[in-house]
Amino acid sequence: MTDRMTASRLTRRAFAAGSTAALGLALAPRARAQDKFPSRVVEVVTHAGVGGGTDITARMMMVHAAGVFQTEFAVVNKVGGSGAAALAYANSRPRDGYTILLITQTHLLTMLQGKAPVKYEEIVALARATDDPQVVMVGKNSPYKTAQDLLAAAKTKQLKFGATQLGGVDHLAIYGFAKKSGIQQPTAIPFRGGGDIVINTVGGNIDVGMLNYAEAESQIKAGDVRALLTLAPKRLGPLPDVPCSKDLGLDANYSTVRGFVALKGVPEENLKTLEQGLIKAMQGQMYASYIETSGQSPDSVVGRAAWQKQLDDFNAEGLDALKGLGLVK
Amino acid sequence: MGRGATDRRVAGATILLCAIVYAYTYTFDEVPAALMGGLGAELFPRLVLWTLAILAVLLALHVGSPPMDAPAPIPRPVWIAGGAMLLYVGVLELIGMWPASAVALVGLGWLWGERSLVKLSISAVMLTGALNLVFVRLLGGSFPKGLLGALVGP
Amino acid sequence: MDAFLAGMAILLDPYMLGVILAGTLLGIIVGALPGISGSTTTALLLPLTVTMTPGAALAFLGSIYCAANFGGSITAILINTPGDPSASATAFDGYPMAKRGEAGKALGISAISSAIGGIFSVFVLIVAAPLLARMAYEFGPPEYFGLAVFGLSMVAMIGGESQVKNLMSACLGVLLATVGLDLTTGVERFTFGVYSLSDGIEFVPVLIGLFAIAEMLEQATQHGVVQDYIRLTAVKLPTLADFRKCAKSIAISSGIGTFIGALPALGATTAAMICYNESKRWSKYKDEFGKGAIEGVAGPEAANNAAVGGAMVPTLALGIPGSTTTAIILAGLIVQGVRPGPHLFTEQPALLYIVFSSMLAANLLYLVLGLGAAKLFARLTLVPAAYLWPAVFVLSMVGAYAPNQSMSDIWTVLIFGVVGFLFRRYGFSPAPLIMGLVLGKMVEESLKQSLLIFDQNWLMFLTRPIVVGLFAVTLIGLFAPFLARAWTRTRKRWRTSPAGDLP
Repeated sequence: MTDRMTASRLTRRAFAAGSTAALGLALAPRARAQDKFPSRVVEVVTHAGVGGGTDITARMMMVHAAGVFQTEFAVVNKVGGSGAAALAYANSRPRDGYTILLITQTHLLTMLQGKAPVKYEEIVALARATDDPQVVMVGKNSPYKTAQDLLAAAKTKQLKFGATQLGGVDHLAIYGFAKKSGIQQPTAIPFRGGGDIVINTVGGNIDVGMLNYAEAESQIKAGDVRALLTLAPKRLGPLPDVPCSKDLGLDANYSTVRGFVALKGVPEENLKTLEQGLIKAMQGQMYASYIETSGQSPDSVVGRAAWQKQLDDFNAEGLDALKGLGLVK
Repeated sequence: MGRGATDRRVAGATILLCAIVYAYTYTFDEVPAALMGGLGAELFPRLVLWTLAILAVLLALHVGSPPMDAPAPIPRPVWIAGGAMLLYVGVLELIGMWPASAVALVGLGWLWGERSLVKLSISAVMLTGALNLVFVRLLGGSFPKGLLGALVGP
Repeated sequence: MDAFLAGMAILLDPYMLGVILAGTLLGIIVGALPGISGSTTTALLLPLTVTMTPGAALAFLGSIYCAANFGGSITAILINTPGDPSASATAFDGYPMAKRGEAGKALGISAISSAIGGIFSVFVLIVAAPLLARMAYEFGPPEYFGLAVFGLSMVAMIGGESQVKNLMSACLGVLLATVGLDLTTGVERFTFGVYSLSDGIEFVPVLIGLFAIAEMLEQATQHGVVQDYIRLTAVKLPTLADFRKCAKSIAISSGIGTFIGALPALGATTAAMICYNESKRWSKYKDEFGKGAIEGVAGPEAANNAAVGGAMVPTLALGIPGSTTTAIILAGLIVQGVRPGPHLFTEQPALLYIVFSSMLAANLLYLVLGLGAAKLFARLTLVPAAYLWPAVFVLSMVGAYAPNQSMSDIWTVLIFGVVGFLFRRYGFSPAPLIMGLVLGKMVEESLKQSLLIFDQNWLMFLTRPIVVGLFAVTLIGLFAPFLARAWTRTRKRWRTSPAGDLP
């Protein structure tokens, strides 16, 4: 009995999707490997520990994946090094399509800083899983009532923005936003997570929180937090009155994204199978309701072409920002 | 060896450790000027190291700490048990975590004085099986298969 | 009131009761096993709950959460291996009790105080959640700094006889807490290129090494020595007198535990640590601590279960989870279409009361199960060493590897096993080290965040009333013993001097 075989037993048992006996799977893979892809367990590598946001996304996708692909999926949690451990693990596996990664922009930044054993050029997009635009928010007692107020004030004053990690995705979004809107580079105050940023935005310890809608949903509804600007080309469904960056003529679009990728070298037909299967799995009812209720953009799931372009764009902009901040020479 | 010599040795070892770690703090990456807003990354660890070193001096001088007797030399079974633990990691890399665990249960049990290999083996298989049931079957964890497992598995 | 009754009525439904029972049993088991915590289990079972009705799903997750925090104490007491990080303070005195042959007593008081703490916090949740939740907004980095300093202030008194050694141990813990990416500068410290160190040293392997492996090496020194457990008392449950002795500690810890749990940045582990300190501070029998004080088991256990109800406060009332487990419960709520927030209490009270009543039921269930099985569990201490310690070793290794699937965690266990062994040999206690490791990160991070917020002006700390209050309590706590001694001396002099003055 190999360990990987059983890893997604739980989901399978729960949904009775794949009824193949695990024993049969364990004994047979070699014989059937050539016939059809995928014919054994597909590993989904994430940098999040069990229960982290990215881990949950992977598990939600897997709810339907077993049925769609007629094989089992297993999450492999390789925590550490801001994605470097996950990339290193994927790099150590054969490039046959049986190992895919669920990545965030963090992985790209890690690669840009040369801290991972894989280069960006080796990443092949499969499908995007979630897309969560950043929203500029202020506390209830903030003097800034509109995005224009904030931008005007920030031109003459160095404001304090909450970020999750210095040199991380949030921080680069703040840097890029400041640059593109012509305000003074804010002081980034790092916090452990979105929840801390929400609390300190309400409490007035920071001037601005850059947050995803869902992170501050209940505070927005209760009137403790004011959303001023959505950093996306379109307004958000739940925030119809909040302008988007396009409304203000800004080309500042930032979002938290997660998506599936493989490493270069996987046969083309396997990539296609994976892309189509993943999209189909993520169109399942369970995943759709997860997307909707966790406040992600409804058009989160996109295929290879659009996802690859987004990755390319972010990679280019990320490099600029890291250089600007002095984190990459 | 008189009373207090042990404390002085502990203090000496602590101060040596502090010095090594302190030196290591000079190898931290530099923070780019654009990001450097507050206290540096090396400041807090250094502060703690200074405190630790001062406490070590107090220990050597027996201030706020009664002198202690030299402990008895480490008995041999401890070295053997420690060695067995290291061996476990080696065996684990070779034949995988579950087989290695079963072997460890028998081996350590024997070291601890149980001489009935039959009883040890039965309990080892039962415990490994039970753990496997919870960690792998129920919770879907994945564990090292070792070199041997890599040869056999897909 | 109708909603409350409706919520309670689910307890009459056999299906719901079955779900809660299943969750409680599962929670106790995974809580007791090192390496799988309540959070891992809830994460892995989340997809399963999606198929349940919203009420059943929440009852299931909630009861796992409650029971896992109790389950951790079982292994902490019996084999010195905290099954859940929140039970690490329980091992300080629980294991010495078991060694003395009072395992049943320790397990019993753990079940009772856990249940009292848990039930107290659920009632606080019912009555004051929206109010208590607002308090979270008042706690920014400066306030957390004040709280961390307060938590660390007692560290010299915890552990062994020598205060200098206790402080050295704590310093080592704080130093270990600096390993990893520094939050406010993004610089990697002491990671030596090991990926898994960049998020800091994993807490669970450190615990397993310091407690379980160190104890195992210690046992090896006893090789051939006949175990003289007082076998008859090992299975005895606590008496009413034992409970009376712990009442104060349970009361204090339930309150503080609920409060700390309600702060989003702090969880059950910190609550248990601080309440271990407070149990000792307010105890009449301070000398017993570290050697098997029953209050030293009651305090942390009441606290870590009170923190469960506390942690649900910001989760439900603000939509901000304070721990990994509450984050998963939040995800569970959201997938079920329940949006947490202040409005939840007015809009969907029925579902809310299902959460409350299932948590109450889970607390009562593990109390019954825990007391019922305490005698059975306690017999584990009677298992021959040749079977017990190898099993503890294997359990430790599997448990250390499981959460992150990383070999470096196995090495961490072994290294800290040696550290723990040397610690004992030279008269150091691991308790201050663990406290330093838990609170050290908070001290540094909140200090640096505060200074960024204050534009590096240290005096600004004094403009925050809560911080000033916390500093004041810390100072009083530090100097109270001296003041008390001075006061008794003055009083004695005052009493004796008039007599002496009489002609």
